[in-house]
Amino acid sequence: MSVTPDPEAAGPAARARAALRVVIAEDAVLLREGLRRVLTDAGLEVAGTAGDAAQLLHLVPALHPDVVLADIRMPPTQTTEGLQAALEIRRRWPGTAVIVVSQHVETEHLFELLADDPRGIGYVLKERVADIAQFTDAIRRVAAGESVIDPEVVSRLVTRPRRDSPLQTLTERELAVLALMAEGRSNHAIAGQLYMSPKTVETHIGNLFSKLALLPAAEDHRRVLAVLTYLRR
Amino acid sequence: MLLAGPALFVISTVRARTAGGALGAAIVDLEPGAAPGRLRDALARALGDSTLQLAFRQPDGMGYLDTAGQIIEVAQPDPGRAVMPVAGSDEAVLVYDEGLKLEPQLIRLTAAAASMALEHTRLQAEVQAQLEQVRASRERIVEAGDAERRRLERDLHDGAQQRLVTLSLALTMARHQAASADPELGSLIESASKEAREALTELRELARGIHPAVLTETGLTGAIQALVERSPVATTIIAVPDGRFPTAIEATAYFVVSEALANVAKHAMASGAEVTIRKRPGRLVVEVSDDGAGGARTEKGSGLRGLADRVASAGGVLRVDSPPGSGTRLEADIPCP
Repeated sequence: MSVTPDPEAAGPAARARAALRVVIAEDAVLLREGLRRVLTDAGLEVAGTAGDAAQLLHLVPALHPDVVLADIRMPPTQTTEGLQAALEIRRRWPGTAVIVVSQHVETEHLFELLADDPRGIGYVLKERVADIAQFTDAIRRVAAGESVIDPEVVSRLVTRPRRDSPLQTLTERELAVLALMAEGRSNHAIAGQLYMSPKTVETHIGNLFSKLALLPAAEDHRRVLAVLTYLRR
Repeated sequence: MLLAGPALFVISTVRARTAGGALGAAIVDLEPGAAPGRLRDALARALGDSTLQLAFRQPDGMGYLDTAGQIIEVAQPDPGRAVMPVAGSDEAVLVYDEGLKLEPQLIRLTAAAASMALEHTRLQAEVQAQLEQVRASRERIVEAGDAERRRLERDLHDGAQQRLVTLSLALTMARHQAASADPELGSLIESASKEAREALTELRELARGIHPAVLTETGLTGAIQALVERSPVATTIIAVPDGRFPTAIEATAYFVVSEALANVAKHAMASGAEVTIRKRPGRLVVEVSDDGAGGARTEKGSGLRGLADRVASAGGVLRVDSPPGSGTRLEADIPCP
C-alpha cells in the first residue's frame, strides 16, 4: 500500500487544478508499478496503490480518489474480490468512479456492476491497459460520470446470431450507433467517432429505438443499461 | 413347536421329490438379495419344519446367530435338534428337527438350496459393491479432472496471461520512448506489441475452454449466459435456476450445454437452439434442443458418447432424441440434492 499526500488539504482551488487522482488495486507487482508509471506519464496522479481489496477499502476514504482501478481477481480467493470491492466503494463512497479490469469480460459481472447505478462505472479487459491513450480516455470518461463498457463484450452481444429479432431490421449505421451507445458513449462522442453530425446521430437513435420498441432515455446512463439489457436477452 | 417324531415316518420318497420341487420353487420365488429371514421362511415351508433355523457364523468367528437374532449352539445342539452345514462351509448352518434325519436326501437338498440362494445373494452384494466402487472411482476421476482444469486455468491467469499483460504494457512504454528517436524501432516494437495482444486473445480463449472462470465465480446463470452469447447458432435460454449447486454438478451441467451447443453448431444445420435447466426434487434436468437435421448418434467415439459418460459419472442419465429431419433434443437428468 503506498500513498501520496491528498491535495484536498491544499484547498479546493488546488484540487480543481490538480490532475485526476487515481488509486490502483492490482496484486501483480510488476503490472501495478507499470500502471503507476504509464498513468503518471499520461498526466494522471496515482494517489495510492493496493495489493488486495482490503487495502483498497482502507485507501479510498483516506485518499478520496476520483477514480479507482480494480483488478477483478485479487487475493485471497482470486475470484471476484475486485468486483465486490467496487460495489462496496459505490455504496459507501458514492461519487467515486470505478473501473473494474478483468481478463475475461463476462456480462454476468457487468450487470452486477451496473445494476445499481451505471454512472461512473467501467468494466474493461485487462489488456486494454497497453493502449495508454484508450485507457486514460476510459479513466477520464468514468471520472466525468460516463459508463465505459469494453468494446469486445459489446461486439459479442451485437453480432451474436438471432432469430426473428427487430435487431435484424437495423441498418449498418444504426447498428454502429447502437454498439457505441452500449459502450457508454455520449451522442457527442458517437458523432465524432462515426463522422456524423450530432443531429444525424439523434435521428439514428430515434429510429432504432422505435424499431426496437425501446423507450427513449434522456440520460446516457439509463440508455446504456436499456441497450445492454436488450442486447443480452 | 416340534413336529411329533412319528409323523415324519409318513414322509416318503415321493414326498422328498415333491419337497425338492417346492424347494426349487421357493428359491426361484425369492427376489434377488432377499433377507436371510425370507430364505429361512421359504425353506421351512418347503421342508415342512416350522422350527427350521438358518444361522450364520458371527463376523468375529465366535458362535452363530439365527435369522431371528438368537444365539445358536452349533457344536452342541439342543436335544431333539440336528445341525447341517450349508454347502460344506461353516459360514452358515441349518438347525432342524432331529426327526428329519430320516430324510437325509431332503435335508441335503434343503442345504444345497440354501447354499445356492446364499451364494446368489453374496455374489449380488459383491457385484453391487464392485459397481459402487467403480462408480465412486469414476466420480473421483472426473472430479480430479475438473479440479485439474480449474488449477490450469488459474495458473494460466496468474502466470502467462498476467505476464503478457505486463509485457504489453512494457512494450507500450518502450514504443513511446523509441518513437521519436527511432521511428523504425518504434514500428518494430509496435508489431511485437500486436503479437503480444494476439497471444493474449488466444490464451484467453484457451483458458476459457479449459475451465470458464465465470462458472466458479457466478455458477450456472452466468456461465450458461456466456455460452449462449458465444454460440454461433441463435440460442435462447428458456430457464436456468438461480443459486449454487455442488461444484461437480454445476460442471457436468455446464459441459452438457457446452458440448450440446458445439454439436448444434457443427452438425445440426439448425437455425436455432434452446437451453432449459430446471431444478426438480432430487435432480437437475438439463435440456438442449435444436430445430436442425436430427439423426444424432451416441455411438462409441462420438462427442455425445463422451457426454453420456460424463453424465453417468455424476450418477445421471443422458437421453438423446434425434429423429432424422426433426431436430435433436438432448436431456441430462443429474441427481442433485
